[in-house]
Amino acid sequence: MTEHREFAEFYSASFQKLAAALYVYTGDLAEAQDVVQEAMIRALARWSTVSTYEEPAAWVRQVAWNLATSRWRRLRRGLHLAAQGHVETPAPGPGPDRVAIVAALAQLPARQRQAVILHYLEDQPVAVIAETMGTAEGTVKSWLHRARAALAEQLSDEAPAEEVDHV
Amino acid sequence: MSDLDALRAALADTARAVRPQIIAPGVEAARRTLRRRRAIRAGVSSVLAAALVTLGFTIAVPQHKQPTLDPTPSPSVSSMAVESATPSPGPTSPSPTPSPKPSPSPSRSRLAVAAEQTNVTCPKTIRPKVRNGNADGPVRLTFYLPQSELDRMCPGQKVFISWATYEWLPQGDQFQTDGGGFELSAAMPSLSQSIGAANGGICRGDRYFHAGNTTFPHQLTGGKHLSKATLTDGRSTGIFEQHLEDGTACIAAGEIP
Repeated sequence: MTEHREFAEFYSASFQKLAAALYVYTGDLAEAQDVVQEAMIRALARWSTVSTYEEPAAWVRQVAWNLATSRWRRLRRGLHLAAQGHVETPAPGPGPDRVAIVAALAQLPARQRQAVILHYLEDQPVAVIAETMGTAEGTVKSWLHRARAALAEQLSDEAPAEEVDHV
Repeated sequence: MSDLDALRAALADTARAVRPQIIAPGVEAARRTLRRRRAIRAGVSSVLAAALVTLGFTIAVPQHKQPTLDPTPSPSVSSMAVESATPSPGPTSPSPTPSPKPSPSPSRSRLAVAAEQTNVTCPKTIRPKVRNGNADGPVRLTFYLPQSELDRMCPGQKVFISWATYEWLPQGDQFQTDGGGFELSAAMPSLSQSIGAANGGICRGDRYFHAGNTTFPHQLTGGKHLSKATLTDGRSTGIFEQHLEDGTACIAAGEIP
């Protein structure tokens, strides 16, 4: 019974934050929610193990990002939406600035976009991002540098571009 | 505010703004999904297990059904079939039922085969008897199995009796005038045979009775005989395996030179 309560607390504390980050990544709120829910189900299936980790949220985040970046999952999602005649509509709520940043992020390569969100939104250190994405730290730094430059260029229409500091 | 701070602020603001719109399906939904998946997985596992068991059984049955020698066969057609059946190495996969079994050789009776299977030691020598064996023809000879022999015999055991009768030729040779063969058993313990009279006054020659399937020669030359054993006069009934009733009396009477 305690185990159930622990998972419920973990779910409540983690779901929205993780889903929001994935929304920034995918630009699709429903997809973000589905991915995080699936990660939560998988955590629940092995909660006796996951709960012993130093940071269970890191495990769920890893799973959710893996699902979100899964090409197969994206393909299935695209087919599902196409079958339903889905029309992409911007999520209501965020103002023009927020829509702009999401749109600018969408122009980045997926790996760079993921690195940006993990680093600047989820505050993950470069080393952790490198481990999460299965790449070298230098590569992550390079992605972040290029991503900042690209974002600065894309957002320059609305605000004067400024030089981006090195990470 | 640096660009980095601005980027962080923009990302955080976007994430924060979207949070109220995020609808978490909830822990209970996660539990239901997990229970459903586990049930499906268990069902699939059960079906697979059942399929494997069925498949394994199907594969295993032909191996267990391979004909084997029944250690205690009964004297029946099926037991004989068991003895002679072998797995048919055909191109097709093994059948769950034994392949058709060849019938036993016609030279071997079913009961004899059954007796072999039961490892019963059947007496090799059965001594039938004959009545009127040395009587001149026309006469009716009766071959029979005495009760003492019937008691010794295996169930279904049969005794084949060959017989032949000869007449003397003027040159001193004998030629076979009659003969035959038949079986005696517990089911048919006696049989009578009629022997005609010697033709044209030719003296009756040897008469042979043999317990077994044999072929007697058509002619015996030079006064020779097939057996040294001789029935004495007046002994019309006797134990025999291969007895000779020679034409000594006829020769003595001067009918045979």
